[in-house]
Amino acid sequence: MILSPAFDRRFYFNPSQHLLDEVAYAIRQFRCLLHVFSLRYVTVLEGEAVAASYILERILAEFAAASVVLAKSVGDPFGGPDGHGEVGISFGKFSSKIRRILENFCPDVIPFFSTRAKDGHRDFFWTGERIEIFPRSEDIMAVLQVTRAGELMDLPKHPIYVVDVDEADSIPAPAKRVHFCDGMAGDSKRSKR
Amino acid sequence: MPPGVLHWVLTTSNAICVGRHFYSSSTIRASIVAIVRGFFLGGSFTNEDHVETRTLLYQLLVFWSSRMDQRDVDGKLNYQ
Repeated sequence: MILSPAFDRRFYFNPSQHLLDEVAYAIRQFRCLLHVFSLRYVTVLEGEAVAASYILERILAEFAAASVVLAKSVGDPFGGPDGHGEVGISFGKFSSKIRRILENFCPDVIPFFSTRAKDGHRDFFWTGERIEIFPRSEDIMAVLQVTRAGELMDLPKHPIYVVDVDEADSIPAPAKRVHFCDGMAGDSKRSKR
Repeated sequence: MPPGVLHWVLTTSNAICVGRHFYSSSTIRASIVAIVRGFFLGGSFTNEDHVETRTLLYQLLVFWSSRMDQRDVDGKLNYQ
């Protein structure tokens, strides 16, 4: 959803305001869906409770990297001229669009995206460990409060952020969480747990 | 026929073909991968990319979002 404008040639040639509004609304709904998900569920990866935002941004960056790798292997311009006489889309235009989308949505993962693209990451699907999802029950929250780390923003075994978003001395906050629909969540500086 | 399945239409004589397409939740991942490949391969991959159907995908997401918001963890409606 977030990367969809990069794969739609209409967004490269003077997209209509209606189209821009449509995708913006869909992305807002997606953010709200993730907000509801993070309120109701806890995600566990490799035995660590991680924020849903980590999983989202990791798969987003890897999907973007796989797209760039695939694009590089295909001769550009992509698609060729369409029925309206527009020319194909060059690799440069495409990769710029991907990067702009990531910069707007989650600039913190740009370094991770660049690294994956350079490494030739080719998988569009999740390649990490199995994701376990549990309802956010009292029992689960009690266990998380006991652990010093709480819900991690970044997975230590597979970090995607350059800045250490989980400081060692942070106290796990049982109540306050980063909400996707919260205006503060759009800030690249993340709140500590 | 699931999304992304390579195929062509072959008739023994001149014909007018009428068909339907739809997006399915269970195969949505395959649809997305087919869209990505279709974007890069263009006319060599498909005779029609149906770009206007992207609206349906956006609407699907809005539907999922509103449905999830209306129901609790067990799938029951939050309000009666």
